[in-house]
Amino acid sequence: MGHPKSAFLGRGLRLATASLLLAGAVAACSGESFEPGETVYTGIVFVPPPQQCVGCTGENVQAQLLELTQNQAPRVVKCVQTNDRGIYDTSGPNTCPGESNGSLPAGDGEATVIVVATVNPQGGQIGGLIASRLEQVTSTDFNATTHIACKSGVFLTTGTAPFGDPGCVVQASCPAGLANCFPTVPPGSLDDARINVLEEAGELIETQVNFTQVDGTDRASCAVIVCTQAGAVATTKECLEAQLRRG
Amino acid sequence: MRSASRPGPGSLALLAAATLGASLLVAGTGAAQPVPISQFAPTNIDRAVARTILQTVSQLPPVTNVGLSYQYNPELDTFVEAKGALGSGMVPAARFARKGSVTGVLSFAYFGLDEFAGDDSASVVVNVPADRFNPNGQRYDLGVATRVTTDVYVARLAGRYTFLDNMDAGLTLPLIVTNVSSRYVVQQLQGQDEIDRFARRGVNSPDVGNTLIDTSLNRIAIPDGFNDGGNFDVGNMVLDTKYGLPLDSVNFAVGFQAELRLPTASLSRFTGTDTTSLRGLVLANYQAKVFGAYIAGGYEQDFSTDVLSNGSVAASVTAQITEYLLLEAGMNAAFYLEDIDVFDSEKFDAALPSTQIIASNSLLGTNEVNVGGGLRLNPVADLSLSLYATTPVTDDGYRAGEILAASVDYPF
Repeated sequence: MGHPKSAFLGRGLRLATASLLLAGAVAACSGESFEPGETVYTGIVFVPPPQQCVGCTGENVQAQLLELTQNQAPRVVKCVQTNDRGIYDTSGPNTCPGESNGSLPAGDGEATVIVVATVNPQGGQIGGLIASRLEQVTSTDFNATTHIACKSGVFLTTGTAPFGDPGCVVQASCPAGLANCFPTVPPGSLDDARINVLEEAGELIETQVNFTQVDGTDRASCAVIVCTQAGAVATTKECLEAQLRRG
Repeated sequence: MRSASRPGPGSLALLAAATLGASLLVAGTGAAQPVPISQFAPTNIDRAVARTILQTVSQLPPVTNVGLSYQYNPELDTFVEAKGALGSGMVPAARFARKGSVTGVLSFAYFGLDEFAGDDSASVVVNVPADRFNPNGQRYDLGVATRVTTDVYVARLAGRYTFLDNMDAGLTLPLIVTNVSSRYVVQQLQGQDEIDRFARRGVNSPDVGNTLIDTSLNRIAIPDGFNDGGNFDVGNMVLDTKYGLPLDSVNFAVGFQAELRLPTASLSRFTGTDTTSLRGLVLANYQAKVFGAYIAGGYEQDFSTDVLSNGSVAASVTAQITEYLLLEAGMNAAFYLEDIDVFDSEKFDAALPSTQIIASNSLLGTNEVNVGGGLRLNPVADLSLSLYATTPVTDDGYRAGEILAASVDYPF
C-alpha cells in the first residue's frame, strides 16, 4: 500500500510536468513572422487648375522616385507610370532603367525622398517630399502645395546654384553677412515637422504660382525657404508675397 | 487612439482641459503625417481581439465549477457527493469541492476570429480634402477596409482551493498563442456605385485601377505598430472567490462570485488587455437527481476603458444521463457599455480636417450572445473531462464562427 502523501506529490508532479510541457509546446509555436518588405510609395497626383498649369494631367504620366543627397543633384531611383486615375505606385515596373542611378538606404530606418510627376509636355512637375520608414508602404498625395515644398526640399539639400539662385541662396556653407543664404542640409533633417512647415507655407501662395514650366515654382520655393528660415518656423502670407515681389 | 476612461464627476473640468489639449496635440501631430491614409488605420483592432479573448477565456469550461461537487452532511459528519455531482461546465454555480481540497484545472480552447460585426472586413468610406491645408478645396473619396483573421489557441491553467464547505478561491492563468493575418486595402472611389460596392465588399472590392494600398497592416505606419504573424504571451490572470449561501435545500443553491482581472496580458500581442477589472456575479441553480438548471448574471467594470465593461448573463440546463456523463445546453451573453470603433473614426477629423464619413462604419456593436453545449465526463475517481462548443447568434463584435473547448480537472 503506497503512502497517500507520496501519491499526492506524484500526481501533483505529473500535473505540473504536463503543464510545463504544454507551456513549452505553446511557446515553441510562437515567433514573429514579420518579413521586411519593399519600400513602396503610392498616392494620387492632383494637378492645379488649367490657368496655373497649361495642359497638365496626372493621368498616365511618368513619375520619378528620387533619392535626395546633400550638395548633389537628386538621383533617380525608379520611374513608374501613373494610371488612369492619376495614381502612382512605385512598386510598378521601372520605366526608366537607363536613368536610374540611385538607391534607397538599406535597413528599415527613416528616409526622406521625393516623388515627382511630369504633368505636361513642357516639363511642368507636381511632386512632394515624403519622410517615412523604409520597408513600409506609404501613401502621400501630391498637389500644388506639396510641389512648392518639394522644390524647397531639393534646394535645401542640393543647393540653389544649379537652379540660378532664384531668390535665395542655399549652398554648402554661407559666408557671414550674406542675406538670405542658408547652408544645405542632409535629407534626413527634412522630417515630417519640417515638411509640414514648408507645405503650410506653400499653401499660402500656391494660387500665385504657375506650374506650367519646370522652373515655375522656383521663386515660390525660395520664398518659402526664406520666410520659414529653411523650414524651421511658420510664416505668413505677407512675408511670402513680399519675398515673391522681391525675388 | 484608445477609448477614453470614464471620469469621475469631480474630474470633469480637468478632463475638459486635458481633452482640449489632447485634441490640439492630435491635430498638430496628425497634420505632420503623410496625407492621409496612415490616419485611417484600424488602431483599435487589438482592443477587439482582447475583448473576445477575455470573454471566451472567462467562459471556458468548467468556468469556476470543479468537476465533482460535494456537500457537507451533518448526520454523517462528512462530505458526500452533491446531487447530480457533475455540475454545469458553462455557468458558474455555488457548488464546491471537498473542504480543504485543491483542484487543478487545465483547459484548452481554439477559435478563429474572422468576422467584424457579421462582415468579412471592417470598412469605412471617407470624403477627404486633396490638400490637407485647404479643406474647402478639391475633395475626393477614399474607401478604407481591413480584414484581420486571428487564430487563437488558449491553454488555461487554473487552481481552486476550497477552504470552507461553501466557499472557495481560484486563480486562473491563460497562456495564449495568436496567429494574426491582416490585409489593409485603400481605394480611391469614383461615383456612388464604387462607394456602395466598397461599403458592401470591403477588402474584397475589386481593383479597377483605383487601389492605393493593398498590403498587410505591419507594412503601414500604424501608431505603435502591428504584430502580424505569430504571437505568444500570457493572458490576463484572474483571481476569484465564490461563496454559497447556507440554505436548507439540497436542490437549490445561491451564491456570489467576485473576480479580479489583473493587467498581465499584452494588448499589442493580442493576448488580452493591459487593464484591470472587477466583476461580480450572482449565481443560482436548481439540481435534481438528473436534471439541473443554472443561471448567473453580473457586471464587470474595467477601470480603464468602458469598451471592456459589461453586463453578462449565462444560463444552461443539464441532464446527468448516467452516473458518469452529463449533457448540457446553454447560452452566454455580454452586453458592453461602449462600442469599439475599429478605425477610431471619431479622430479622423482631428487628423485630417473636414474629413467626413460618407458610407459604412467600423463599429463592432455591443451585444454578443453565444449558444452552445457539450458534455462532462467522470471516467474514473474524481477526474472530470469536459468538451464544449459554442457559436455566436448575434453579429456584434469581432467574432469566431465557433469556439471549441476542452478541459480536465482533478481534485487533490
